Amino acid sequence: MRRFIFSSGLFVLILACSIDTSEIPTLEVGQDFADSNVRVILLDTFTVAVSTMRFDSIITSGTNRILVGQYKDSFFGNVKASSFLELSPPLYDLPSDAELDSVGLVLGYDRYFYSDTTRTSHLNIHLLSDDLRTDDDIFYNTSKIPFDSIPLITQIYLPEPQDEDSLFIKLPFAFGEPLFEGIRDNDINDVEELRETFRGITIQPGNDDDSSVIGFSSNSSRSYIRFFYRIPQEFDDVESTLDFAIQTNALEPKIFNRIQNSLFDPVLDTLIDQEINLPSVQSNNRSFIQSGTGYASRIQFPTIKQLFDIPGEGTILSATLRLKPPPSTYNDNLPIRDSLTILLVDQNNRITEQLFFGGQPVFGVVNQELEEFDDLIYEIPIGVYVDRELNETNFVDDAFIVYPPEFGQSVDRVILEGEEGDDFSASLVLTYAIYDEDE
Amino acid sequence: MMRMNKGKLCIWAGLVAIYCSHSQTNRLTGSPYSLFGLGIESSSNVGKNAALGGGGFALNNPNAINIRNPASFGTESTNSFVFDIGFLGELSTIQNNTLEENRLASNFSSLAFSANIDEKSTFALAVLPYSDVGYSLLGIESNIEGSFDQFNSNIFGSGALNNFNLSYGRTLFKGLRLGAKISYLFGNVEETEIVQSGISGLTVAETSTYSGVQLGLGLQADLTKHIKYGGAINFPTELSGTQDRTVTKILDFTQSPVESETDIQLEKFELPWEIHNGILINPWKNLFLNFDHSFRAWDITQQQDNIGEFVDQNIFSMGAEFNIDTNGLKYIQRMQFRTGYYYDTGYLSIRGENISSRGISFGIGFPFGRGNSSMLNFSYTNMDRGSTNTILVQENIHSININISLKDIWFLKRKIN
Repeated sequence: MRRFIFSSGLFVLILACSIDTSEIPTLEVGQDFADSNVRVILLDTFTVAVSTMRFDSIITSGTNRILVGQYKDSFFGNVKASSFLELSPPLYDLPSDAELDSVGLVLGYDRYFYSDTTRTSHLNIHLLSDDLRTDDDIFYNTSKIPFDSIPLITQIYLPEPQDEDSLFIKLPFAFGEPLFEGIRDNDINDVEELRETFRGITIQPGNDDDSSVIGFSSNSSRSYIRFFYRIPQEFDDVESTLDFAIQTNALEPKIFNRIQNSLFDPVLDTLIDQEINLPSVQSNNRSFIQSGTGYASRIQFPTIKQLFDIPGEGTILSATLRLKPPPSTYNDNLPIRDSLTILLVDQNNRITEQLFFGGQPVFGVVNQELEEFDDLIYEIPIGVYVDRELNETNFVDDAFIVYPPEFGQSVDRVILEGEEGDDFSASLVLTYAIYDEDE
Repeated sequence: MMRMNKGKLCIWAGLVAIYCSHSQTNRLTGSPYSLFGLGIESSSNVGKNAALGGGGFALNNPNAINIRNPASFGTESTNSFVFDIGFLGELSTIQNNTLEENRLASNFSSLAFSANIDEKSTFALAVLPYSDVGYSLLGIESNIEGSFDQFNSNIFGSGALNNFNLSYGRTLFKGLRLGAKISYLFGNVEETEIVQSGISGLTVAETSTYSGVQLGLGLQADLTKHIKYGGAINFPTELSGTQDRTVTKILDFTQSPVESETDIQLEKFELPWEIHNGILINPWKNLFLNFDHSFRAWDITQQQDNIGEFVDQNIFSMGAEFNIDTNGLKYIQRMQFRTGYYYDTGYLSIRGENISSRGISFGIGFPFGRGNSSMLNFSYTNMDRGSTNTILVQENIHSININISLKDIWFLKRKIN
């Protein structure tokens, strides 16, 4: 009997330890009679301080776009892009009996354009009078290489960046002949020797042009100087070509674009230094962005710490910045990009880092749902940034700046409404969760 | 004899300690009503009370433990030692006006023993669940303030409060027994809420630890040869609590910690006055009838939790026990047959509606052998709680209590050494 009792006691004990059905039921029963312990609030009352700043310089070397053209912008004045290139052949080898027929410049459109392509433009090809070289091997939108004042040739054309594949500009025979013969006669055998005769070219728009800025590919298979030559034979001559192209060289860039605007605007002209910020309230409630010339929007949230005035303990679950370009500032000729790039800067507007969103760089994207009457609104997810601003213990006067992609090789502009617009103001939309009401 | 007694006691105390550490993490319920307060009152029972409608304040059997009334330990006996181990399994069906769901919860539920000090007094030690928490509330939709959008949250709770109970009862004079008890209530309640708002998420995980001491007194009087009265009161007490809280969130697809705080002081949870009365009638041979009433004065604690409010609670119960012949030669003659019923008005009022419950129970006691008072008690209870009115849910719970009550196994002397 005792054995039985003991074994049954043991049995129950073992049972007790082995059965533990604590898996969680999944059906939605009973949820109606409980409220969430968390309050979630949508807030959009924080001040968004929008200002304009201008980079002293933007790196434009090593670009894959030859950017040339000039147009008059209603905000930025005369916007002018010109390109500086060093072209050279891959091999310095020609048959000794080759004879030059003609020489020309081929520029392959890369489909980029800005402003009015229905107006005629000028392309002035000048020879560089100095090497395309710099001490630090970086060129900026402000860099310049001296060139012959008289152009080698001037081409008047109507750009067809969307419809045509490339543009051909015939170059003078007198330009090509010494180069061709130098290579053929083995007087020019490398780049050093080539530079003694030919340092490169710059492509400048006409001084009085008000048409468009056009992008050509800098790829060696799309844009090049082509020498057409012939090797005489007994019956039919053999025809062939030699190409000078922009050689890819990461250490010594062979191309850069100079992008400048000349402005006589008393407000924007105050931006003579990268550290200066022009608040949008002082510039007609607008902020001005242009690629190439270096204008960007600078954004701060000066009142964000008022979030802590809300009683209880909480945390933000999302933060979205909404920015709107006034519809009158873009059209088919002055198209607007559907995304914006975001970077963090310090109090002197020096770039410190890039913002991330789920491992990817943050981009502002046009929200299709908010498009009303074809008005565009950019939405920028900046939760991580706002969270950090809220949690930093010391006051850090940093900000983030907003500009279009291809900042170094285009002239896209974006005009944004500032914080005091009549029908739209730049706004920060926060989702804030309070998980403890008591404290 | 006493020396041996002490040695055995140590072993039992060790077992009790192991049980305590184990039971804290176990979940014995799946009731959404356990969201409120410190969970729902546990239906685990020591001994045979579960089969008798849950009451039995006047029961005094020296062969079984009656944890309901400490005065019952005053029953005169010699060298009595009773050990009781319990197992509880619950299958519940939960439904609101549209949905139905089954939940299963089961576990080792209680451990108790009592031992004589002298002929007139006995003490008892018991560990059993006090309340159980186990709920999953999915898809709670709430408005995002300042917008027309909603956010979604899921709330999960688990945990249990345990009752470590020391009782002492004594016969004052023949027919009148007094008892006192001290209960140490302790345990953890874990609640995790997961909030989903758009692509962002917030997880709030809270572990609340409560503890407190409750005192109780009991009295049993033999009114006539066939009628006994039992009464007990539990004094109001406060359970103090601290909370550890961990909050994390997913912001812009990146998970990050928000805070991790420990030892947050919680508001004290008040347990009310409890007044229990019962009578036991023995109208005929081996038939015993018990009628009991319990009252808990929740109103004056003025407590509420979420949308639930605590209200005065009345429990009415009755039970009957019968066997053919305690000393019968046939096994079936010695088997005990039990049944019971109870009605509980509930301690909780949700949006003005009391969450009442009612249950019917059947049980059989299987004696271990002739001339041996050890019992295997088996009981089945079918219980309804709540209603499907409006937003409430109704639970139908089938629970099975199995108890092994061992009597005097340590004191059985071998006839031949």
